[in-house]
Amino acid sequence: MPRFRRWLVFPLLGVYGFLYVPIVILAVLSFNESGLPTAWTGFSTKWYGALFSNDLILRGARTTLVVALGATVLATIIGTLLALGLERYSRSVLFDAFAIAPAVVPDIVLAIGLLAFYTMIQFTLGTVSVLFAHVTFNIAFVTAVVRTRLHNFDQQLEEASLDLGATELRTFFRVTLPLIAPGILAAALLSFTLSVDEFVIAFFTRGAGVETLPTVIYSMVRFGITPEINALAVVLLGLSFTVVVVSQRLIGLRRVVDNA
Amino acid sequence: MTKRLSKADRSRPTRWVGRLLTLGPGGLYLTLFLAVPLAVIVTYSFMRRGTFGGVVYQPTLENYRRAVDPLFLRILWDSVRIGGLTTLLALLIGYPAAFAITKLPTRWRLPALVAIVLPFWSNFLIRTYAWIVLLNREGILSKALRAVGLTDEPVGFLYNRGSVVVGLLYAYLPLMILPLYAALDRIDPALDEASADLGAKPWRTFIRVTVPLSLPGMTAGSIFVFVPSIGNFVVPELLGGGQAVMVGNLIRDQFLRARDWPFGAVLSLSIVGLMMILLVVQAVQLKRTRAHA
Amino acid sequence: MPELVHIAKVTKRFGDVTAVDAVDLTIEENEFFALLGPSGCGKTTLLRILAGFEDPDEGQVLLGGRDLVGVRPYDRPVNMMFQSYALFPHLTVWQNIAYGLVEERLPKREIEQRVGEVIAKVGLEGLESRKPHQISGGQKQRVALARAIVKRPRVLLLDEPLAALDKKIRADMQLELKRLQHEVGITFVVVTHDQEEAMSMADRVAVMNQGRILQVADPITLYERPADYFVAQFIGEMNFIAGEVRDGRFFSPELEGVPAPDADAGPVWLALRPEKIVLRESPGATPVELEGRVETTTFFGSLTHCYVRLPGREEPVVVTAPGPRTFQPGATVWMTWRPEDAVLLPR
Repeated sequence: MPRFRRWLVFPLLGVYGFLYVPIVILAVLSFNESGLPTAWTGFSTKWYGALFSNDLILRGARTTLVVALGATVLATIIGTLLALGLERYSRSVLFDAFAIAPAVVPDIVLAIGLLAFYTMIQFTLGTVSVLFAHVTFNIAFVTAVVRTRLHNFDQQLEEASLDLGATELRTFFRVTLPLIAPGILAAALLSFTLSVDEFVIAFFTRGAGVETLPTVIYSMVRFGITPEINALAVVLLGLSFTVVVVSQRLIGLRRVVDNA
Repeated sequence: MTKRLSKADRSRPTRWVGRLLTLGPGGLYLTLFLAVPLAVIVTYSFMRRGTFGGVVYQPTLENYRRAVDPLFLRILWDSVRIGGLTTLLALLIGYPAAFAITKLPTRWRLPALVAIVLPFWSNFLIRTYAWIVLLNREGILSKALRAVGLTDEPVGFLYNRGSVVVGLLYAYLPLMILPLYAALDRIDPALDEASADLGAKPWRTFIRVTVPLSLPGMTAGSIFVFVPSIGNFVVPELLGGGQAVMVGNLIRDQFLRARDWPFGAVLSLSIVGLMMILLVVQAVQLKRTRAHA
Repeated sequence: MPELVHIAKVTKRFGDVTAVDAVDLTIEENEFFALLGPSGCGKTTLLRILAGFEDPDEGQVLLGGRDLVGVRPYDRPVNMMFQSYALFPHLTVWQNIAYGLVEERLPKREIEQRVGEVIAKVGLEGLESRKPHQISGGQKQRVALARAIVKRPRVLLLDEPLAALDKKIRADMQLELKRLQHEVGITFVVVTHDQEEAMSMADRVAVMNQGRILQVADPITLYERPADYFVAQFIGEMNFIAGEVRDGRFFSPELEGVPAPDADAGPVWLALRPEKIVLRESPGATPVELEGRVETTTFFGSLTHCYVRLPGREEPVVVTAPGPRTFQPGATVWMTWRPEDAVLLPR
């Protein structure tokens, strides 16, 4: 039997420490009355109050919600269709590469490309331009997730349905869609999370005066220590963890790891 | 899955409808929002910059000539060094961790992996901000050092290359550990036993079997860490102050401050070029080790 | 022959399951020894204990008098051929075979010489620089074998050595393994679930079930005189008649007093190989006789299986006879056999 060599826990614990200590410190500080890392002046939830009355953050959050929801809906539809098409109707390696490219191209390159493109066709920068930009990379992730689901799918089930008298369209809605639904849902959740967190592309394609939550965070963080950020960190982490737990329920932990 | 594309199947009109309905929207969208923008960058890289920003459609190689200017090459070299150091550290820290996870009892492995990925799901900017709180002159680390009496003065750890590397490492370490774990997990445990059976002590087995067989994971992880590291402009700005300018910062400045888009286009193509080289290296390596999988 | 491996009271448990249960076993020098049993019987665990991959919970494993328990696999003069072959995919055939010699820090010249010799011995010439994925299954098996014997181990362990091969190559490899064992003079211990394989290759076979060794014997004894019901039904085909021994005679609902001079009194199975039974069209004057009706016959070319239904018995009796069938289904037949061909087993 492979014996676990005990000393191996130390590098592992070291990595967990490295990954979690900063986050835990932020979480603790979010309840510090002074809001500063220098001294603990007592437990307080006042920074959460400040967070939820910070107009800039709230407006940014609203924009982000619109962008993320819109981009998720569009990318999920387009990406699911694309996954189906690539699995069933295409054998082109090039098309495969094209569909995964938005996830591979460095974000800054995609960002300036889209900025240049929008400017060239004189597309007004704003919430909509960010939304369309986010759809681009989300398509790649949705397609990849749905494809793995389709890949493990017994095509004889569809043939059985056709054999039993259902048309292609009826078969799609009665057999294919229900069976890949968990994958689609997971893809949508992933797409939503990515969109909420995305900064670089939003930063370039948002235009003047439009702020998403990450761009608001960016301008706050640039001025150094901002106590509301601690509270915001806890709120966003809570949201992310919820998404992880929900997707775990939907599709199992294995996929959560694979998709990240 | 076997694709059954019989002749009769292919000629059926429903197949063409299916093709069009499924591949059409995605193909069109990605052409419009990915292929065309990238083509625009390539085009701009050959154009002249307008006096007040913007682009004048006059072909020129001037931007490329400027890109091989020593000043820019130095920044590129710096970026590669910082990105390379980050990648190396990620490999050195990530490898033992990934290896340890493969040796955990089966039911612990998945939770252990999820715990590696979880921080990755929180906002990138906030994770970077956490290091400002830690490393600042008035930060936790400085305070801790004073508390144990190692120093009397507040010490700042920010605004140098080291803090940039730490920030990038923190941002991308999970991207190294995941492919490493995948590669290590794929190694047949019987190979370890065979090696021991033939007389190799554990560390010899590690060097002669484990390391060579996990090479594809090392390459994949290195690309996942290196490419976004050199294109990153947030970490150098927030944690590096003005001390570390990387290609990412330069690109951002060309587009948002200097408004020299053609030159910015060339710079971003340099990142794409680096990425392509690495992907080719990876493809060659995969081809060589393809049979292991 | 002198004793080489001595296994004494070895027990290995995995949680609640006792994989190997107080096993005693002696393997002799230069022997081709087989551990035979159904999957999950503990034979592979026993092999892995010999290799050093598992430590027994109790008992001793002696090799040439030296206790091996606690000795790490890399310090044992024992090598293994893995069921999956476990060839290193990143190394060539030559490097795979040289792997263990490099660990012994032998001079380069000696490694080259020994690897060259063994490559010739197993017939892998010309494939030295191939990678494992570029050679056939049979060739992979030879590499795995060469890699182990080049170390000149005291004992070579082979875990289901032929399981991954096509049926056709398997027969050739059986002969080849026997030839090699003879040539290199190393003790072979083979684990297999295939009784034909064990019977055709091994000098002696240990039959295992549920962690215990039921019988250790040469193949002929094992076939002719099984010591246990499980052994009797596991090896070859066997008819069983439940009965009882009283006063040196066997009684059952079907049979009245077959002589059984050496048997102890009590409930027993009378076990009878199909080929030991003779079918007749008319009754003879012998107490060892059963009347039945032919149910079906199955023709196998060199022989025919005849299923004979007895009154009051659920399972038909199987009788084999050389050549095509001579009895029609429905025919009434009388079965007889020599009393010494039947084996009486405790029930």
